[in-house]
Amino acid sequence: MSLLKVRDLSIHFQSRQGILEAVRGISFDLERGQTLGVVGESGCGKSITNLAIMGLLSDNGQVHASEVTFEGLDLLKLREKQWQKIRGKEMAMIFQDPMSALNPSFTVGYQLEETLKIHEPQLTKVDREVRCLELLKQVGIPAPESRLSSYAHELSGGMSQRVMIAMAIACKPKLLIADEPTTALDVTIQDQILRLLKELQDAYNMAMIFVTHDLGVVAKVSDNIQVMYAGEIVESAPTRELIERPQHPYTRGLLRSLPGAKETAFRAPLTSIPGIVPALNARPLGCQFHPRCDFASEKCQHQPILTELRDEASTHLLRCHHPQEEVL
Amino acid sequence: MSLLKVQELKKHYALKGLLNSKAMVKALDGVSFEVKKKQTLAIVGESGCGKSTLAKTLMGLEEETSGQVFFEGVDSKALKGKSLYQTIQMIFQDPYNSLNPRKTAWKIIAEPLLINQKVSQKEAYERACQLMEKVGLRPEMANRYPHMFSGGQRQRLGIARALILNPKILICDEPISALDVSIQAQVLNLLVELQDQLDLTYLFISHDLNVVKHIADTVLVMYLGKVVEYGRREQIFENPQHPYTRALLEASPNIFEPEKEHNPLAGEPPSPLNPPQGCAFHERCPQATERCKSESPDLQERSSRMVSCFNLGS
Ligand SMILES: Nc1ncnc2c1ncn2[C@@H]1O[C@H](COP(=O)(O)OP(=O)(O)OP(=O)(O)O)[C@@H](O)[C@H]1O
Ligand SMILES: Nc1ncnc2c1ncn2[C@@H]1O[C@H](COP(=O)(O)OP(=O)(O)OP(=O)(O)O)[C@@H](O)[C@H]1O
Ligand code: SF4
Ligand SMILES: [Mg+2]
Ligand SMILES: [Mg+2]
Repeated sequence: MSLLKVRDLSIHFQSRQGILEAVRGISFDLERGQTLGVVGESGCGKSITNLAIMGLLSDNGQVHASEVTFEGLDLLKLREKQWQKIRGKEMAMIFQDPMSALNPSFTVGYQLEETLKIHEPQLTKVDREVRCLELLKQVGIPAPESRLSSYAHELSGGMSQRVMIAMAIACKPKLLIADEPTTALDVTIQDQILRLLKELQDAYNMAMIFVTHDLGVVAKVSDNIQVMYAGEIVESAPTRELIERPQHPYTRGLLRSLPGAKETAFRAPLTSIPGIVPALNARPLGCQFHPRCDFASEKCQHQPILTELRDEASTHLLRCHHPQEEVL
Repeated sequence: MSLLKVQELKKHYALKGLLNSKAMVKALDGVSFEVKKKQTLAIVGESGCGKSTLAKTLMGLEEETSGQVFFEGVDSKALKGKSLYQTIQMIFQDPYNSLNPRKTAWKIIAEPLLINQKVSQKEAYERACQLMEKVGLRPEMANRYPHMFSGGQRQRLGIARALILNPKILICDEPISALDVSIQAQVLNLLVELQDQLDLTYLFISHDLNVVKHIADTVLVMYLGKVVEYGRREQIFENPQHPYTRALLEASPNIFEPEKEHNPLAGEPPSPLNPPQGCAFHERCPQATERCKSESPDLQERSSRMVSCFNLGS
């Protein structure tokens, strides 16, 4: 049984412009200890999909799905009381901006201890203090004893992200959702945090959903990559497969537009994708990418279905009427 | 003669307040480099190392503490206001907040022209429309407001505005990092095209080394207000010498290359308020020796580039 199973997840928002379909028909499985990387441009629905999985979507958002299960448990039917037992314990989340995710009026030690108090009531105060210190050490915070009494504003971005990670892993969750956890950090600090997440994952056999718009980062950490466009999954495959044999025109466009490929000469024009992402209140008919796509035909006026490619041992999924098989 | 020459530029901010102490932030601490016409110099380094301070000081938005800047051999102090703006202009990282939301596109673009030169509204409008075409915006959009443009289009507006006085040098401070991935290539391509058409010289500030490698002729690596390595593109990317440059390259993800085996650099950049003794990098440096803790290395020519480190091997 998969750790997490999502089928036909859609998210609608009530807005002044009517009902907006922000996410449509998301389906995937995540196995224990695996990392799923989710990439896509700003506004494509990465964050709200994960908030929906965690039961944290804002009130004006409606979630529809035929199935969202975690270890077989139906998350769609959970009440807030039951959620509180799972969130922070079985599954946890870290965000892009650690500074604002930490409460500015309490010390790091207090916030960490509160997490333990809620989920591990059997621990005594002394046990909890010992565990807090262990956690800060584990996430690589220097002089952890003195850091317990620090406030968020006294920490650098990298340090606050480490504290957030310590809080998230306090109860050894089976699933960690990391939403752009390194986007606000410098590359050398990003490097440290990615290494740390990998180590913790190995230690706890923790599954991860790693959200980012940085293809380089996602390639580094993920077993599988999911590419989202305008609220839909357009392609999904094991990491190397996706990078070496992308078949969706959008994925291919993204990869080709990146500087840094050996074949791109110094200052030579990079291939770029013309046009922009459609607004949610002005979605095109059919394939959401067709207005920007070089291969669009009559057929693309009809929505392509996310299909498994034949002749593939691996699970390469594609939503396109005209798969591009030529090597990039 | 170099188009731009910077010598021992320092910018120290005095922090007032606390106990009347004389705390100083040495945002720039003796930076020197030269740029030739039609070349691109990239400036890289971690947050807070002084990149934007350098840009602002060159633009005359901040007054230097000491040091000199020469544009085509002329001391920048001799170039006041108008002539400085006609020499050097800047585009900003954030195309969402750097444009006045209450002005139409053409007014935003033409503003520097209307302020600095005696031109009629009609002339200014025409110039703005010409530039809009040049940066890939349809002149019909001249009367729209910034919120009606996408991020990439707004960055084009910023570029058009920076070009209206025909500057020789354009400083680009993280010009694409706030843009969506699929738009970044468009703006990069545009910058390269404009450089060729208008013989522009770029100072390109970026933290994305893949982008830097794509467009920079020379690269300046900064750490805590100082230059640690400075040289031609190939030298820096293919044969980096300074331990910090190496660490930066190792830490930068490139999707097309398998990750290099490496240990992440430990620690964080120190506070410029309280820089360590000796080499500013020594606390994080895998190669640091006793000497690095007490003495600060000078920038010296080694292996065809400038680099400041005591332990470069032979
Ligand atoms: N509470 C809300 N009400 C209405 N629309 C919303 C709400 N929250 C999100 N949206 C819309 O849903 C879409 C998806 O948002 P989401 O935050 O998931 O994007 P994202 O992929 O995480 O983008 P980014 O990379 O910028 O973080 C966006 O168009 C956004 O404007
Ligand atoms: N007006 C100011 N007063 C005091 N300190 C300042 C001022 N402006 C900048 N600094 C400090 O100078 C140092 C260099 O800042 P600068 O903005 O140049 O960094 P940067 O390299 O552009 O960083 P980033 O990559 O985050 O944009 C920082 O420590 C900053 O806090
Ligand atoms: S379905 Fe058609 S329009 Fe959409 S990506 Fe494929 S070829 Fe392009
Ligand atoms: Mg998001
Ligand atoms: Mg800056």
